[in-house]
Amino acid sequence: MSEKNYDIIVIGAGCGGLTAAAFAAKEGKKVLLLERHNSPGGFSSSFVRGRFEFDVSLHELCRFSNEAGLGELRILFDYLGISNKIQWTSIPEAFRLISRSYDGRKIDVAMPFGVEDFINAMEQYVPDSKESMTRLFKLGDEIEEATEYFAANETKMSFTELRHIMKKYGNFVKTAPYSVNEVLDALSVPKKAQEIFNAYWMYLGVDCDRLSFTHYISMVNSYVKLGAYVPTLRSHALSMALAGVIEDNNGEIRYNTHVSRILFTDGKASGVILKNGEKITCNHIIANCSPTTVYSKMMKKGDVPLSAIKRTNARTFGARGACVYLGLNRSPEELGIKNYSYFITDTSDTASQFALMKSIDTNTAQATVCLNIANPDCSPAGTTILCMTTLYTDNCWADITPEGYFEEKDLLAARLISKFEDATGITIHKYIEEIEVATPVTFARYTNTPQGVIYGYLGDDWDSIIPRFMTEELDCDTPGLRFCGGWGTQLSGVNSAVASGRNAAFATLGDISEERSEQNEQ
Amino acid sequence: MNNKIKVRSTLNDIRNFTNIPELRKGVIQEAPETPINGNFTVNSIANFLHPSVQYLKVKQVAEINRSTRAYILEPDAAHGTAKLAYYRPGQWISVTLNIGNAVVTRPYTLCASPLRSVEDEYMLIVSKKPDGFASHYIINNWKKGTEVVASAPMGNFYYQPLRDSKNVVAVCDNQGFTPFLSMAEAIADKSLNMDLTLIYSARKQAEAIMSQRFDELSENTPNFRIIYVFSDEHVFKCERGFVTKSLIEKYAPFTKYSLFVCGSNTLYNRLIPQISELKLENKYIRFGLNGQINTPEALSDFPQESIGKTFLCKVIKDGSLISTVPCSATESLLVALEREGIKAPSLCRSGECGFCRAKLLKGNVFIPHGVDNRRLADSSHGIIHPCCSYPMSDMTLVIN
Ligand SMILES: Cc1cc2nc3c(=O)[nH]c(=O)nc-3n(C[C@H](O)[C@H](O)[C@H](O)COP(=O)(O)OP(=O)(O)OC[C@H]3O[C@@H](n4cnc5c(N)ncnc54)[C@H](O)[C@@H]3O)c2cc1C
Ligand code: FES
Repeated sequence: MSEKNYDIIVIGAGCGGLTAAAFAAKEGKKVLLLERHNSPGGFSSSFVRGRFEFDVSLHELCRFSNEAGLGELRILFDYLGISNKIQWTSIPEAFRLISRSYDGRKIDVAMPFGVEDFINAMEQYVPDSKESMTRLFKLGDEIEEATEYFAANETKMSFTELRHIMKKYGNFVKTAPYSVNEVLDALSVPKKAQEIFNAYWMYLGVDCDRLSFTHYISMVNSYVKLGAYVPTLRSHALSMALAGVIEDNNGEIRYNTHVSRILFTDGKASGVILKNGEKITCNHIIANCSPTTVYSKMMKKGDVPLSAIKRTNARTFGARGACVYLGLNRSPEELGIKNYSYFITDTSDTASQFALMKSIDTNTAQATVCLNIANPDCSPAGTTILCMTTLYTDNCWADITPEGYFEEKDLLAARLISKFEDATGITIHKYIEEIEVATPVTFARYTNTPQGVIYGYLGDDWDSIIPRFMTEELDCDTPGLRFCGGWGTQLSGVNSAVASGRNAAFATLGDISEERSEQNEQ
Repeated sequence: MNNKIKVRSTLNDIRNFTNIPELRKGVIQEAPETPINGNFTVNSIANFLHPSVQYLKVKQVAEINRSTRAYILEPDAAHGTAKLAYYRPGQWISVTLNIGNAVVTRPYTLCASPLRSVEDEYMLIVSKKPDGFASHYIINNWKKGTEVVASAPMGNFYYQPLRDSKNVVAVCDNQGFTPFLSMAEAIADKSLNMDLTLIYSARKQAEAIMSQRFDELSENTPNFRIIYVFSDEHVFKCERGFVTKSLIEKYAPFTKYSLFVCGSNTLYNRLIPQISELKLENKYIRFGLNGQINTPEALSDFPQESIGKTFLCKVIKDGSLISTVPCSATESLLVALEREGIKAPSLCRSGECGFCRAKLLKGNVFIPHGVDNRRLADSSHGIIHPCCSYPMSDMTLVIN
């Protein structure tokens, strides 16, 4: 075999690809990670404008804790040895929600972390919600235990096993098929409490009529119980730390390297061809890019299994993203900004909001973060970093002409800024010292993500995390090729991308040892 | 455990749970077998606005003065560039040049109105720099038909309506007029909505490059006007001397205004104390990039003991040692690599864009204060920007 044959080639150094490569390298595999950009991280990155350094994407991490061994992400980072190499900033509270209730009244609530505090705050805003909210968080704990069980045990769904599962995790089983709203109704959570509880939906980009209850409650439960964290030096610090694990374990990373094709030999992935024509061979590939891109652009037609074509055609793209990054020349105190995370929407009915996000003109919804509230030293004294993120649920940015693009960007920024000002009563437009606007076009440019999608495939009811897990084998129909990251099995976000990277690495390690034992048998 | 929860009925809930895999299989089974649509319309716009490379051809050369040429560039369809990328007035492209053994890049401002790019034309104005290198090569070699490899438009020195005052007072010299020419052209053809007052500083009238065009624009464009300041001669209707606080105030509007400055280091050094007296908020002052620092030893924080020293830099790319390069303490690492013919990535050459990003495995560099725009996590992981890093010891560098 030539010197350049790798056990595993990972395509794309987003959080998923970095994690997959880190695990595989740590297990002693010969790993090559290829990234078209000049630095690691994909969306998990940062950039500098004037006196400010902005995080591209990260609002907050969940399943993480200050304490070693607590939270899925923390455990994973402990294993990779990076928890203590990264400086962490803890997020002080859950969120501030400003929206409109079903009865037309304004919603303006600030929710704390901590289950008891969260429930008490809810009771204050929505009297008589306490009992159902308490049940809800208890259910959250049960679901956490259940998902741990499922993650640790391969289930065959035999009758005896089902009986065991029903006995121990009955409430998980009975709520797993349903959407957030279906379960909240069943638990008799008052409508107004539902509106507040659903605020985090923008992190997943699926309205609560379709969003998997199991997925949502796991996320919210973790936030409220463990709190949230961000790397103090922005998410780029996380990406650099993950890249460091790969390098320390003799893995190779090549930046500015664009993979254009995936090669197959005898129906199994066997290498890649780079944009410059160079060919590199390997035994396994983990792709951090979208399956749609891989199947439509990077593989020969005949190499794509029919099942992969159908699966890809069945799926819809998740939300496209846009961000406005603001460096303001006043302190948060001077401006009157008190909260870290603002969810600002036109309606608390998530399905209606989802529909408003189909077009550029009607969309002013935002998840806005003021980093200084968590980390007062993130920008020079007397200044503030404020980042606004919005989602589009259609390809509306494809209708822009190149000549009109810059103006459209400025209009988008103006719209989000004035919505923020209206909702909070805080003036910011006079204090803009630096501004950068990222649209779906920008994200398409930097990460090559199709249509500027930031959340992978839509976690629709039939394609949410539980169905994806229960039919995992369906998605592994292309021998030698696995996927990770936001387009992988666990949906999007740093937490999911990292977890899917680990899973893809272990699955591939499993493939390798299976092949080895097959070879030994022969 | 919670008392038993049910959503519909216990039986239904269990049935729906066990049915989850079938549900997903069913939807996939129903999906069409048609080829997967890989036509990503948003990505097409992204590629159009930010192509990874632009292949251009010189369409026309005009002599502006003895050492300055204007180049009209057009897309080189034969090499794959069908349309030119659109840009914001003030942005620039980086051109790659093979000069002898060296492979170098240089940034040049797009001087025309962006509307002309829709008509398949970019314009660059290149002035020979005394003691320069690439600028001489361009002026001596580029002619009609010359093929030019360039980047997409880049840069953050443009008018941003949400940040800047609509009234902009700009100061330039003949090394920094180009962004303002593009702005003035765009104001004239109404593709840019701002009010620009340009104060153009030169020693003599004859040295103010493109003054004829600026005069025409000033005469015919209500939102643009130009004022010249000559240090070495009296000219009718022009100011005499240097750009000072009171001169800026004389031409600045009474309302709020933004101050844009672009030009040589001499201009910056002279202007900075004057500007600080204007008591403008930080957000109203913006400087154009001034390129690589060729004489770092003139900076007050430069380690004087290193002057005259030469070091060796081991260069690693794609996992292997590709070269050992001699490098002088007073020349940027990027230039040292380029001299050896190493294709090292770079765009702005000013420390800003981060495109040259490389990892310093061993050794030390000097990074001038004020051009260190590295990300925090980069600085703490030994990443440097070779375009503004000066060798202070032997070293090992990993480039992309
Ligand atoms: C954002 C921006 C926009 C700009 N726009 C314009 C514009 O519109 N018009 C314009 O005229 N200029 C513009 N410039 C300046 C331009 O990019 C060049 O710096 C200028 O033309 C001078 O280039 P030069 O190579 O002649 O000289 P320099 O780059 O200043 O100096 C020569 C350099 O070449 C190195 N060198 C010498 N010999 C060799 C060799 N054999 N191999 C490799 N390297 C060698 C030297 O060490 C030295 O570093 C702009 C600069 C920036 C940053
Ligand atoms: S080339 Fe832009 S930072 Fe070095």
